[in-house]
Amino acid sequence: MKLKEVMDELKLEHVCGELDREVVHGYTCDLLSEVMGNAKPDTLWVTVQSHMNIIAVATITGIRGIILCNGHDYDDQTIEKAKEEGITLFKTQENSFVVSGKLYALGLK
Amino acid sequence: MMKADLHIHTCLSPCADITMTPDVIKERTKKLDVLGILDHNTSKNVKPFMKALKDKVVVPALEIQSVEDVHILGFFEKLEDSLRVSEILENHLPNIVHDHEKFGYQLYVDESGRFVGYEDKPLGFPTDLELDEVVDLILRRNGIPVFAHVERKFGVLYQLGVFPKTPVRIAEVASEEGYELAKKGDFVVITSSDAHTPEDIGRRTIWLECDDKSVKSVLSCLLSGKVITPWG
Repeated sequence: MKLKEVMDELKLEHVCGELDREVVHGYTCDLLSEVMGNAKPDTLWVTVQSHMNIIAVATITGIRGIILCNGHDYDDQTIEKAKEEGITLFKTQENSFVVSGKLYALGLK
Repeated sequence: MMKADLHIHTCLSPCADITMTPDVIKERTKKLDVLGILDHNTSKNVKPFMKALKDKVVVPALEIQSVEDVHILGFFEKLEDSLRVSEILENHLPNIVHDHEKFGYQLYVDESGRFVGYEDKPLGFPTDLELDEVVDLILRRNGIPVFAHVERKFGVLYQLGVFPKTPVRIAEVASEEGYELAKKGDFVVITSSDAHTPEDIGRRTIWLECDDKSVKSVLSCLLSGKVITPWG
């Protein structure tokens, strides 16, 4: 599924990055070590972590995009790094549970 | 009385400015008596600072990241102890090679400020140790554990919501709000700059009610709560 479709379906706010890329999996977690150990490539990651380290984790695991929940904001440095590394960033007021449920219903596994 | 900034990063931290070298820090700390020199998950850059800053009390320290990504400072009387903890932590960091270009340089310096090497372990990541294990590791090596910037990102209150029951007796805060929260938790409260750039150094400081210029007396002063912060 294209990130653009996900964004439209969930009414996500687009922060930066390409929308014309495919994601197959979803992963919801805030512990970076867990994400690093378990997330698959082509994943859309649901979290409340906004520190620059999330971009490093995304780059290492092959995560394509990140949805920051609960109305949190990304650090400026994080956005800058995401642009450099080609990671797509979204944010939303909704919580991780609701977002994950919607992603699952859309067919991300 | 001695003026202290106990949380100053060096150029070994990936998120710190590469100008955080002994010569620059010396210039910026003329009004301070006591400095805590540290990096994320290591003390391996502290020695050149101790050499270059002989007229100061330099507390060997590190800032350990637990698996919950709670940041905990360790203050040590002896550099060997903090280095031993640093070595142990190397086996608890993610097994990836740090990309200096992408995520910030991790540089070793000598006392004159010359770069002498770089660190390929990803120092800016959480370890796989739980908070209790981190506290225990510091205590077993004769260190003093301190909750870092409790009310801010990666502080214990921010990450876990409440103060967990641990042997930690000292809390670092970054604001008056944090001070009140830590006081309620019955902690000895300190505040420090968490400097990642030269300009940050000394932006928050404390007074220690002791005059003996040794790491030992600074640490005992902290433990007994002989500390004055801007809020009390």
